[in-house]
Amino acid sequence: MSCEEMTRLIARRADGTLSASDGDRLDAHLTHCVSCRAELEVQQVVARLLSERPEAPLPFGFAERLSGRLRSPGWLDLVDWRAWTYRVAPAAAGLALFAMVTAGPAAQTSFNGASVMLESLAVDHGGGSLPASALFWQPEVSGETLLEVVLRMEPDGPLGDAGDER
Amino acid sequence: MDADLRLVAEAAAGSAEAFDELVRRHQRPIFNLVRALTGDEADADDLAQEVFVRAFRSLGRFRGESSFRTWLHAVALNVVRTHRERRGRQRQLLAPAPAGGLESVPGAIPPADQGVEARLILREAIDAALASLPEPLRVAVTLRDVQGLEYREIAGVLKIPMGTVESRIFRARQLLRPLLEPLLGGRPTGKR
Repeated sequence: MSCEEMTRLIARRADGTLSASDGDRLDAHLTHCVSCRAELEVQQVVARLLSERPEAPLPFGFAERLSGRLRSPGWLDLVDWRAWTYRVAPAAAGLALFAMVTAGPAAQTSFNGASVMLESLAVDHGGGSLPASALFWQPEVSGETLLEVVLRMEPDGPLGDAGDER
Repeated sequence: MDADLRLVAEAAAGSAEAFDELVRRHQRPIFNLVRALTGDEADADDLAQEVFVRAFRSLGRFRGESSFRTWLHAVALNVVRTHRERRGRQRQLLAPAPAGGLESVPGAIPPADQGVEARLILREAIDAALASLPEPLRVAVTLRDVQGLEYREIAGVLKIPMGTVESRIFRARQLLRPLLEPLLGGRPTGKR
């Protein structure tokens, strides 16, 4: 084994993470290689010194400041996206109506695609025809479904072929 | 099994107490890592906070394929890297070694008297030496020798082969040796 190939083993031996089998290979090399023995000593010294580096003390109030930062207004919304969805739903419904009125057939197609989904959801939940916003107050409706409804209600949403499903 | 996984799941579901516990468990090593990589106390405070804020917002993307500690270290490295790119601190990436090693740095050699001041000087001296390394070497040797991460963890954090981790650490220690000479005192020096 060449000295070049030993460097990785030397690095491992220096911090005590060398496997037994690799250790045997390294020992066999070290018996006749003075430079690698010297290098191992260097590696061990530096590794030990770095491991003894005094830990930097945590700044005063670190956890408290972090907690305050995470609990600032809107923090909960980052975690509970259903709460975020509840806030967006009225605005999304308004946007959908606006788009239907102003964009004409294209918006109608997209909205109707969403309406198909809403109708199917209304049937699935044993009710009659439900307004879109009513779905957001039904706990049995999954969060993923709610989000998809919101996305589909945008005129140029990613699932623009919803109307083609009719 | 990662002891943090349960807390991560609870925090991702909205438990503030669970995330507080994760912070309590990892705040010291993360701050220590950021401090070692940046060399600046004020920056380290802000950046370490940012690590946890970013981690909190990304909890849903943590799949448990690595330990939470490993994942958090990866977040920390990204935060530090972004900070450097934003601030344009190229001098920290490529700063030359102090002329004559640490002897040229005032107070680099800890006084005989032990205590808080000696620890501070020792840490500052080591961090100054680390700061002189190229970033890939500095990061690898800091994660291994300062933070105590295993080689496999480091390979996961940096997304590089383990052999590359070992090579970088070897090379980093080689470069650090003359810089840390004043700190070695009675330790064996070895020939190069």
